[in-house]
Amino acid sequence: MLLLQEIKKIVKSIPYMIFVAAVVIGLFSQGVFRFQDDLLEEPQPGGSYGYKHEEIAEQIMPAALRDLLTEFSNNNYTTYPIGFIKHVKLSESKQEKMAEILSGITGNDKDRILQEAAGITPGASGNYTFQIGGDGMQQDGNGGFTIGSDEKQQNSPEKMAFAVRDDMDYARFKELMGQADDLLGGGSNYAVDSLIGYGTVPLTYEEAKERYDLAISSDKVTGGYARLFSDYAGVMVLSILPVFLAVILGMKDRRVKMEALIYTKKTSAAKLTFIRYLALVIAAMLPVILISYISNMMVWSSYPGIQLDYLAPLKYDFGWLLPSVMISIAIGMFLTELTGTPIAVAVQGLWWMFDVNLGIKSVSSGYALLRLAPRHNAGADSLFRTQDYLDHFGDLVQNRLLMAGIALALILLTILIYESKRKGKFGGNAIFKKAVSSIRDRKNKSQA
Amino acid sequence: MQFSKKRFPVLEIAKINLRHNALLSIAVAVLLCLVTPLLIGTANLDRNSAAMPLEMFVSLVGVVLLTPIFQPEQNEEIDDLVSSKYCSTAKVHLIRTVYSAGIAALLICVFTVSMKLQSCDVTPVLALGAIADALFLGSMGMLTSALTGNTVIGYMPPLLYYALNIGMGPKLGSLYLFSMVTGSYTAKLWLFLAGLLMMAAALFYQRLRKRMA
Repeated sequence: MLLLQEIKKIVKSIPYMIFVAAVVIGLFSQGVFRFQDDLLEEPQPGGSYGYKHEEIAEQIMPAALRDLLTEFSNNNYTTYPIGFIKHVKLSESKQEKMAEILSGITGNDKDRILQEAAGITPGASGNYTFQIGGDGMQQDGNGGFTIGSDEKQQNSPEKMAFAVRDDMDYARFKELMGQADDLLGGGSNYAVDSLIGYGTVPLTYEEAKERYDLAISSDKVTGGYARLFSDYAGVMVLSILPVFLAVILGMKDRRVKMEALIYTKKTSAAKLTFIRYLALVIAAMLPVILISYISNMMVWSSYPGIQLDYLAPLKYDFGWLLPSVMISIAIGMFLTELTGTPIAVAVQGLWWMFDVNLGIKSVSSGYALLRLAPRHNAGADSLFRTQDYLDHFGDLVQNRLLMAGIALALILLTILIYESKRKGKFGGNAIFKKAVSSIRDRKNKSQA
Repeated sequence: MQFSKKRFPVLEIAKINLRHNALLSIAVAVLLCLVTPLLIGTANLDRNSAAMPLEMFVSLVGVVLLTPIFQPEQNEEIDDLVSSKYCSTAKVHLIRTVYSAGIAALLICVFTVSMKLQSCDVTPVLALGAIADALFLGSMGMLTSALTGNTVIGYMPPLLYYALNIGMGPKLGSLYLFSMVTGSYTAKLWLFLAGLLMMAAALFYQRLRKRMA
């Protein structure tokens, strides 16, 4: 049977052994074999249960204003426009617009804010900026902030108080903060959707108990661990390493000069390509399934009397991890067939690198449509954040189906390219090579 | 052009190799440097923040440039052909290593200068730290490529190690790649030394394998 032959060929190869070693090392480094040290604990009355974010206007408005004032006075704003940190410095005219926004929030005069907070005198040349915030900015008893620095106190003896104006409506505050975010190019903590981050309240016993019960009833405990395993496995190894297998084995025919011989075989392009794809996917998934069970089994004996879901690792392996493996291998096979070069490693490597770094801000539950590796970095100490997972489950399904769909479409294209090559209609990267060699020839001729 | 057998045409070899073997790698490395400012802020950064684009992005040029050092001779026909020439392959590998490391260092320096022009608090130490990262990751790729005789496999360990650094952070101690973000510079010395050691080991192993073949 061709599939079995292909699987055997893969698992006996050195690249596969390196792949397995890399998977084990990568996952070991994330502590997936020590889940027994991170056990669910039933909340007890009178304890501390962590925090949650809530839209509490009285808390959000002064806290967000404090941050905006600090960044405004330093003219150094931190944003995350596409996930990566970015420090924004505004031009003088934009700082003036920001002062207008601050004026709208605090009720203070714009020019005074500019002069007192940012050290800018409108219309004057040779403006200066000095740092406030930290020790220089202190909260007064009314929820406002006073700015005190030696230099400013020399200029104006009285301290300037900034506080959200008493008649400020939260909807208007959000609107003004939204304008501030637009001015910064988006992705700041003042974005309408991000303001909730300033509202933090402790979890009550009832809420913590509810989360615990959900982890027991919905995740059946093992589901939470399987999800954490998938989070690590997806981002650390399975979104990138399978591409190596696909590229190395895809180029092997070329290396051992077997390409032309295989073209003459009766097996159809569709069958051969698909079987090879399937063999690679199965081979890549084998160690993952095994490790996911070893990791999950570590906690089984720690929950006596609780109904566990023993199939949870398998469900997450197929539902969460398989699409990442599929897309990674499909990109490897497609680009290797198309170009005859290992360019897929660079392409997948770049996508993975950006995906990993983009995920830094959304590790609690990040299932955006184009995520290569969805994130849900929540262990037993945070009660697996099961509700977050359930709330965003639809997004996760969409993402996983899209990745699997793109992978299958790429395999279809790989079959078409392979068939064309077999018929001698398509020379892979012949056009590219021809273009490069003609440039070189021209150079050589001019040197001659 | 005729060469005496005693004279080793270093510059000519470097020039020909650059044209035939390194163009694609250089293009990818330059692309990486050009894409980085589009994704992460490279302006108005304090010293620790300025280390981030250099350590986490630009240092990857080392992997791109150094890993494929042995690639041409991994094709058996080319290997047979170059073995018949009087030029020592080991010396050709050394030349490729030197110019690839040089280009990596140059790109990192140019990137650092461009950050300086954008009002970042960058110092030569930051550039040297990023070069140490690049040499370490690149030499890891070189060594794997030499040991397995396959350049594509060579890209795997550096990328895995990069992922480990994101996942494990400062637990990696003296071999932590992103230490400058936290204001620590001592790890760079170890990374640099380990990089040189792996480079030497890769070149030595390649020579040994050639002699034993």
